[in-house]
Amino acid sequence: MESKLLKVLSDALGIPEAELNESSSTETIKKWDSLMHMNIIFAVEDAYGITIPDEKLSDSTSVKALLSIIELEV
Amino acid sequence: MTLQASFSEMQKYLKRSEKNKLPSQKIKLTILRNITLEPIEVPLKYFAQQSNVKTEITFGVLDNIFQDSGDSSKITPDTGAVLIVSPLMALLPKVIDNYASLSKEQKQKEYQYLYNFADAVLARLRQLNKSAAIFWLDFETPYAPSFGINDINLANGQCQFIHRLNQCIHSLLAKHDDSYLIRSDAILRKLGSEQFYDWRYWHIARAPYSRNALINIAHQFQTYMNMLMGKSKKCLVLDCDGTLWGGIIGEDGIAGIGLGSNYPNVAFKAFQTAIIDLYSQGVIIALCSKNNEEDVIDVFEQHPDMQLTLHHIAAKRINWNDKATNIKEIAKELNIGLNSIVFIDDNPFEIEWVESQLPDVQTLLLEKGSEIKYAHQLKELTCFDKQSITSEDALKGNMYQSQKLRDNLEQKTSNLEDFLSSLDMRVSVQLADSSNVARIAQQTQKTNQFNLTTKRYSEDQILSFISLDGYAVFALQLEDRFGDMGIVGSAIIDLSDPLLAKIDTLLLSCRALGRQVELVFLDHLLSYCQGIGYKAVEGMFIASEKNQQVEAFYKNNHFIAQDSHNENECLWQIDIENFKPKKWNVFNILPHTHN
Repeated sequence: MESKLLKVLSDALGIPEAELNESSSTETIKKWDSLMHMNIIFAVEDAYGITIPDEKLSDSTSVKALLSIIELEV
Repeated sequence: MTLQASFSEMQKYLKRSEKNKLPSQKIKLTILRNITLEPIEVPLKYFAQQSNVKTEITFGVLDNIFQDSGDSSKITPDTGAVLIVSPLMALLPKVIDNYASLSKEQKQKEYQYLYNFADAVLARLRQLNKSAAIFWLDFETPYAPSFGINDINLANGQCQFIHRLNQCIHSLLAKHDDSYLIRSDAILRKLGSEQFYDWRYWHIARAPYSRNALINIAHQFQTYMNMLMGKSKKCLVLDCDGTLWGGIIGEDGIAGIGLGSNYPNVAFKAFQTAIIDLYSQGVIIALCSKNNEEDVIDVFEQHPDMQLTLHHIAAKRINWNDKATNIKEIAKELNIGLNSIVFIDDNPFEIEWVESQLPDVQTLLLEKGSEIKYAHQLKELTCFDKQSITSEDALKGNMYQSQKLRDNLEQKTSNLEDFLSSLDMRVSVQLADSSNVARIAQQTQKTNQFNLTTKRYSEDQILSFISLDGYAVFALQLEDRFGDMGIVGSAIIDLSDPLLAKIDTLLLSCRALGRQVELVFLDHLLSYCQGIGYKAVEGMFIASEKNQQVEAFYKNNHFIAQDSHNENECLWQIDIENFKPKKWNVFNILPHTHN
């Protein structure tokens, strides 16, 4: 689950997978800004076939947060 | 360029292709917008990459459409395209949010505002850049309009008002050359309202469109760009069994194959009718099937429900060879590039094989069991779209048939000159007028092989060459015993230098190659220049991927090489003071008509 998500994030951000890990977030990854965040959400929703509810969108700014949302939604 | 990939697949593709081959063409695109639109970069770049184009995107500042349209740092002289995205919910929010409470005067004011805004934006853009293609995303009509089900019937309803706003944009675009509408409603209809908007991000980030809507907007944009860059496909290569009819002719026999007026066989009839509609627009039709040739011919000649006839078919390879080899041969026979071909088959193996062997060929897999969708799938292909349909296009399918008769004749006559004489060719070269503009522009966009400079021009540019004093534009028309081929050659001569006439463009359609028409054409151009007092003519050769065959054209015709500052360009010059045109035995040169 985690490695699949890291792959999706690396594709969306256009950075090597090695630069990402479980504690990555908007704080640690420079390219992960608020505009890129939309691309990431779109990618995660595509990859897992889910729709993230609007109230969770703004909290989903780290790998950990995304993982817990995916776990709930899938 | 297909619509099958999802947003995340596009991201994956783009990340992988970053390091791979560099696209051959580059386009600078500026997006003016009043909403958050950054994610559209993903599908725009994806479709560009698929079309072998690199798109450099500049985003205007949010809600600064008017300001940016006059900003020379956003609209530069080399900006190739401008996309304006300004949905009503952001531009005229009252029209969307509280239309019912607007008075007649307020509506008039909204309309006037849009008119003034769009008029000014377009004028400012054109002031900074005369040639960029301008695209305006029009306004979708709401799924749930203000006055509900009866809204559409009311003269003062929201739907009709938005329709008038669209007409306003449409008529303003019509005042500017090279400007095009991107159709929101087509996308909304296709996706449905639920899939078109992403209301979460409208409220969070002022980004109303779903990723699927963005993908479709980008797809329309790239479809236009491909059309404008002369990337339209020319030829449809069709499998037979399972594609043109159900079943297998070699096993089921004529009476057993699925083709008729009732379900399910009617699906194949509809598919064939859709093919003929493409044929009527000038698309060349060819067959590539693993079969005994006589079996397939029998179906074409004898089956009462066949819509396609052999006279639609310009080339065929019906044998047991592999399809990639066959398609290569078809391309050679028709004298077209592999990248002009779309191959359709119902067998995934054949599709994959052709994709792997001939990556330039576009393929379409027809899914077994989905026969009822085949005709629709064909209609959804955008790769045959053209800027305008010329009378040559309507003739073209037919012209390739005549070409086949010519080739047969060639095989029977051994000596080239005898052969050419036997064609009874009639050539006429005339100064172009406005009636030739569409065809000449189309030739500059589509001709790759016999094209000395491969400069692509729009209809408006050709029209301005014709009307300017410093240029002469020529059209060459060719007829032979098999029929009128229409205009097959174009040339543009730059006469702005009083001492040296420069051949800006010289091209010949591949259908006219191998007959020495180019020599007649050059002769004519040189005597024209001589006639108006020039003593020397310059020719330029710009190498492209496909025009190697004309690399030595000027050299072979007694031009002398000149120094050139650019590596890919060769300059040639010829002294025409004592030039005398040749006598042609194989042509009947018709007197040219000056306008």
